Amino acid sequence: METSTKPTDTYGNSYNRNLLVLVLMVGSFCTILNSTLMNTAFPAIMKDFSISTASVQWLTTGFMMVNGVMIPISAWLINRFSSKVMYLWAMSTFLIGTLVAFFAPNFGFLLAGRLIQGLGVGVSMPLLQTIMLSIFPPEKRGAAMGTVGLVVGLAPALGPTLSGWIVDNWDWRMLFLMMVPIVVTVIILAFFFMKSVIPNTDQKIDLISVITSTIGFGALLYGFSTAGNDGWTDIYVLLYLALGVIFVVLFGLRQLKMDEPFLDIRVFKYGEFSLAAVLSGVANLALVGSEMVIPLYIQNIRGESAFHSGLILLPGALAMGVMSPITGRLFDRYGAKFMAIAGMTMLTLGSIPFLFITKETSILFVIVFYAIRMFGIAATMMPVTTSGMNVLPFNKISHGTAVNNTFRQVLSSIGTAILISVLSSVTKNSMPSATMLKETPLKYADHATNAVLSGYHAAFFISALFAALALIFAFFLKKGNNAPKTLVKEDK
Amino acid sequence: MSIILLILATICFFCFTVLPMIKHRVIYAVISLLVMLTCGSLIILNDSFNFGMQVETTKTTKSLASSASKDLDVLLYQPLGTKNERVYLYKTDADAKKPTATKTTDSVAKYTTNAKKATLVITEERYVYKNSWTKTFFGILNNSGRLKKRTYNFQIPNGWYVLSTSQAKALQKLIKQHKTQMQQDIAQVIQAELATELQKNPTMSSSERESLVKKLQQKATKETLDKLVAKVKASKS
Repeated sequence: METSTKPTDTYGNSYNRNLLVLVLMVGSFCTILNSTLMNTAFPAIMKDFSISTASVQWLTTGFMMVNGVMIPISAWLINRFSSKVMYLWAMSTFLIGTLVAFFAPNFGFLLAGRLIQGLGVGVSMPLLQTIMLSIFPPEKRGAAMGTVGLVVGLAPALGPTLSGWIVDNWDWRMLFLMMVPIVVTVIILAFFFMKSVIPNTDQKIDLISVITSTIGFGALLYGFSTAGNDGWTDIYVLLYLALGVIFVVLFGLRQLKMDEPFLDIRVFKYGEFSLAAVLSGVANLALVGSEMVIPLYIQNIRGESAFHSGLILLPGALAMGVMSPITGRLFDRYGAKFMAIAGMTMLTLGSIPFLFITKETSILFVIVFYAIRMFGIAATMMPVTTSGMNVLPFNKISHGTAVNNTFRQVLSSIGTAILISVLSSVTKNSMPSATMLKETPLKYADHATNAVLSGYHAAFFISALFAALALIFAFFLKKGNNAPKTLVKEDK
Repeated sequence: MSIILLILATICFFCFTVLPMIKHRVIYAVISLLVMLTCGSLIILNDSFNFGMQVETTKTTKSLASSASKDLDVLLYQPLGTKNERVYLYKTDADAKKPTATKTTDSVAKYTTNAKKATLVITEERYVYKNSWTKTFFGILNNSGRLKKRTYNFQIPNGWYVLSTSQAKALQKLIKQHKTQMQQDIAQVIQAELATELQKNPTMSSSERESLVKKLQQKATKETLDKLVAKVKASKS
């Protein structure tokens, strides 16, 4: 990635961009890896602290919530403080959380450690995206975002495989310990190579915005995460959702009134940005849904270990990792439209086969169609996000990133909730009666397997539907790359 | 083949859709899409609905040994549920320490009496590739030999008992308890029968007499056992 002019930071000093990107990538990889690292270790942790499934779930739910609440605030943080300070802050917070979790004498400390980690990750992810969009010229943003896609796409996909392997061979504490040397190295290197690259303003913190967004998005995310299990008519679920909606609306209204908004939601006025947000959100839904259901299928129906289910999903993750930088470069040259159309076609077609999986489906079947899906997502998510960002003025990038990420987070929590509730209600309805278990247990087991399978089929049907919906949206994208001050050849 | 073709078609589809410098790319993209669709559908049809497969039936016959002790011919089963689902426990080798259980997935097990010799016939119906074409095309999925249905048929002679594991235990206990009683009963029956037979045929040779005693003993033992088994079966469920 050589440019004719040397990049300079906000003080006008030149810096080594490749090293900065490297430090940024490695650190962010560690933090994002943590979002999917825990689930495999749940059984071991439950045994160690003798706690229930419902409590242990909080290690993931709580983490995601803190993470989700931090993202809307991140825009202000990134604009207010230098990116070097923010990055060091995010990585140090993450390190502290990791250490707390590693030494945790009881479940309370472990959860606290995870929540502290979530604070760090909530900043590091939007920071990564904003920095990458800022330090490269607009016509190279695609390639830069492709690299981001490599991290954001590959890290969560590697999580289960890695943690399965570690938990099988060592101890769940190792999951935290292994992070420590890497993160310490990243922090030390960041002192030297991370620069302040995003222009700052001394905008005051707006406490009302912080409070309304924290309560609003927190309640919303919590409501959706419980809706999947407790059902949509549960009084608490409805209460949390209502609370969430009210505070998010209050937050939104306040932003529209402010001269210098805390989180500028007016970025939605840019049509291409909104379309991109919806499209990448829906693509993300399809991704999250399958990443949730396929491991369930492999582990519950096929009886494979978590590690093996991770291995089965690995080729898909690699397909995404390999394709992401390529699609990024292609985006810089040719724009997002046709890539999104191709990608969403692949995602839709790759989802449909999963409607037909049986208890004996060939493993290669699962691997290949999953990889085709991931290919499709790699061709869509980052290019579309970038094309949305490209229509924004330079000083709105951090806001755009925060809005886009928040939107995606909320959308995927809604989607996950829908998927889980469809899955569990279809499974429940096709479950054979309890008397059958007493009378003919063998027949019951057979029917129960089929019931669970039909639950998975239903979930994949929803997933394919999302993908098909996104495919339709893709046709509304503008042709070519809309990078400002473009040197790009238009697609004719 | 199918998978490789699918992957190639997918890559082609992507390239033809995205790269604008290729001439007539729409046609190529549509063609690749069609190839993708065809491959995908065929794979689904094959893997989920056994398209291109045929059923191959194999029959294995094994001689059956008593599931329990060597002196009592028993076929054991473990009852499941209240509607009499069974897992049979069988031995095909009398010296085997533990009996084998019948598999339950896609399998049925039954027994028939009146056989001359105790045998187990396992019939397996499996899906295999229909011909070399389907083998070449779908072979990469490695899905040949999937079980459609397995049938266990235990063919047992009339002297055999079919007992649940708990019945067998109860029977063992009864036999132990009534050992002397049984022996006495059997001896009595033999004597009485022998006496009547001797009256009918007073010139019986000693070898004839020996074989008669043996026969009578078998018969009497069986009768006594039958009584005990009936008792055991009646007491349980």
